Amino acid sequence: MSHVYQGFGYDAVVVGSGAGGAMAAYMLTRAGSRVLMLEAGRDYDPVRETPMFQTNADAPLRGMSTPDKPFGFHDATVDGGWQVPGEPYTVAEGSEFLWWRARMLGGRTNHWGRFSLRFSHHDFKGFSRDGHGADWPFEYTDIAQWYDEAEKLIGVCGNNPGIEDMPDSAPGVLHTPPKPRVPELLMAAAAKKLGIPMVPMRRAILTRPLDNRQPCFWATNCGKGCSIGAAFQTTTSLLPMAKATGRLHIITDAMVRSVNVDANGRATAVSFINRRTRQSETLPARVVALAASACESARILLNSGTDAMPNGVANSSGQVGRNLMDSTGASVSGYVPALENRPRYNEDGHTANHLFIPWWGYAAQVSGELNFPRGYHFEVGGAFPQPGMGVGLSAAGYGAALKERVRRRYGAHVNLSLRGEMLPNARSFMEIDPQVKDQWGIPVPRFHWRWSEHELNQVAHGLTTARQIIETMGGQVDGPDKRPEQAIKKGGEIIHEVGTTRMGSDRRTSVTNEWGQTWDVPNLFILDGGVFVSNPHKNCTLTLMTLAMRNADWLARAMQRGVV
Amino acid sequence: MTRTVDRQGGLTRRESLRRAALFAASSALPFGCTIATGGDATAPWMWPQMPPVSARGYGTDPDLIHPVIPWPNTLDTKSRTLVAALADILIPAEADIPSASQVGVVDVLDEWISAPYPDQQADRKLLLAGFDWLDREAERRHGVLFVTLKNTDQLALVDDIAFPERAHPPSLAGAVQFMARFRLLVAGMFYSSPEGIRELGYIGNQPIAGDYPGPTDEALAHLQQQLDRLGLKA
Repeated sequence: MSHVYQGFGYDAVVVGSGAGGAMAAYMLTRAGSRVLMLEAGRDYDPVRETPMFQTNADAPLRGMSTPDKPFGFHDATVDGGWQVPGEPYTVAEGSEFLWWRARMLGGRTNHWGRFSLRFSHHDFKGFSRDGHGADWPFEYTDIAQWYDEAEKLIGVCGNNPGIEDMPDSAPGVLHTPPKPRVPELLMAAAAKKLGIPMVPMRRAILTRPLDNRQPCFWATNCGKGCSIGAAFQTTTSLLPMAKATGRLHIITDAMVRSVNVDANGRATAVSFINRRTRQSETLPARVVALAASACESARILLNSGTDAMPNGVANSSGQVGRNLMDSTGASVSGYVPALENRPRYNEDGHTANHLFIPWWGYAAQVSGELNFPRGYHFEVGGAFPQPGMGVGLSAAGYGAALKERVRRRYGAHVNLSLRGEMLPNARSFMEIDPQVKDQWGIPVPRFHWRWSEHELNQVAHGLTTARQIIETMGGQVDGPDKRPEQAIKKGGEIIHEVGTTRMGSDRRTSVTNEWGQTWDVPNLFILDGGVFVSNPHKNCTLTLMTLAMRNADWLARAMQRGVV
Repeated sequence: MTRTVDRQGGLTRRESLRRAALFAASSALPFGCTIATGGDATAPWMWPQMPPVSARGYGTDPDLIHPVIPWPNTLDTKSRTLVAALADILIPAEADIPSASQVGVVDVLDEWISAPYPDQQADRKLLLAGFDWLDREAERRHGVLFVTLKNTDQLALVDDIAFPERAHPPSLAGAVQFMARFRLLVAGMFYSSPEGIRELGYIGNQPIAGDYPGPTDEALAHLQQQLDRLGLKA
């Protein structure tokens, strides 16, 4: 039975317009279903709103970050950041956690790093391999083709380097990666001497045309968003494509509070606050797919409790909000005299690293040489950047000597940013704060967070390795050595939070089955990063979209068969 | 806040009184503020007493294409004159590249320290204290404000505070910290201006059709020299 909203008949309600929600809407509408999408933030049009060629000098405060725009003035994020006005969250005593949100159509896909690394067969079976965490309810080979389909759809540049950490994409799927630049070539030579590989990064950046999207023209930082559609974001791709079917209707400024479930354990409606009128509204629903982000979807489930389900909806396992993971993060930078006064040329490229260092330590793990079970990669930096306030860091003295020094040092800094796998642990989770509500009257999450020795030992290894690489380049690391507990970023700071509604093959220990269908409520699906069983070091969005694609396909078929 | 300066360039009595009230002993002086005596005497470091900037920020959803800066500038004419002089000592005109003040750094610095954000407010406190210290130190040494000093005297004063790595008397700690911060800001503002970008030789922010061209032959040759020097192989 379809429902009707303002004359629009719909089969399913999708909550969220980011990576998971937009993919769900794309797949469902393509299969003939009619979708009503709810987005908490405002409407957003990258074609009209992206400050493509604006320079730092065009922005207030030279574009530097402020509490209003934490990633800088030109960052695409609207009404977002680790703090959102009127939408607090709380953190338990002794914990530190940061929760990034974006209140805009397309969500965080408008500014994400576009790093798109497949998980490997190791990643889906971590527990079987080393006894930590849990296995996913399927194998890499079960979704390899879906990775191909997702990569074809979103457009990913890169190559198949044939190394253990990076499964091949099917022939013809990947777009040609851009040539590496001088600092990357120097770093690759240093890494090679240390036995560490450096290969093309895979990014969701077109290097040839796709659908209505243009290939990258090698300018303007992707974090601003991309008005030509080269850098993937749902607002220039999946959402317009789904809308073109005539079967997608989007309601923005709709802050979802809860999913209503009847006595038979079926979802019947979604309740939301209309942010413009501040009124509560309820939409009947035949099928509900939550893709509001891992923590927001878990919050909705936990806030949907009834007398019959006091622990929230779809939470008979008690796992909703548990297993919260982020990526580990740490950064090492240094000054490299070999890069001083080098010949100028255009190093913008696709504005992020063309090469990166994938995890190379599988053999060392097997042989027991490492005191941490899971890997990491390095995203590397070093180029002639578009000059901003950071250039001032090179200044010393005054007058002609200052100017000579700044020119000499321009483009001679490098950095390595570690992104590593965190294992789930019992002390990292979210729940609902018993007192605090946001401006919409919705109870807010309370976060608990601890890093374990697994993460700290991994970061210690990364800090040592990064120093070796910079020193092998003839460079000098900035600042004194840090201990891993000083260097590791806070929970949530890498913005890869996943795991709060994990999937599994056992309903006692997981929230959904392998299709993202909640065990308890058969017409309620989770299609965001909440379903992740582990959080491999490879940045979550590509896998999130691949799962959303595969599982929305399954859902569309189930709806057609009348099973859901 | 326009100040009156007497014929010799010294402070008027009215100005001295006003300043004494403005910089009345602050309760927190982390730099060990002492009124030094003897051979290494310098003007004491004093924190300004000033109300916080209360203007609005640009908010969490500003127009990125046509930005508006909602807060007013707050520097007075005398301070702007000092900023221009000091910024141009740091970054003078050279060949066909203009000086810091000539590319508008004074306005950007005014915008910066007038902004209602915590980092900028901290800079405001440090920089206003530094501007005041420079004038008092210039007056102590030569009886005139900093901008009125002969160029050689200005450079001698700057020389005393522009090298944090050198040993300093404790009484200069505040001024040295001020100078480092002022320099970082001015250099960042200058080198992100179109003229500063031209000096650095940044080539980019332009669309390129087709594949990314990668390094030039000249850039690759330079890289090869460095690889050889370091004993590295590509």
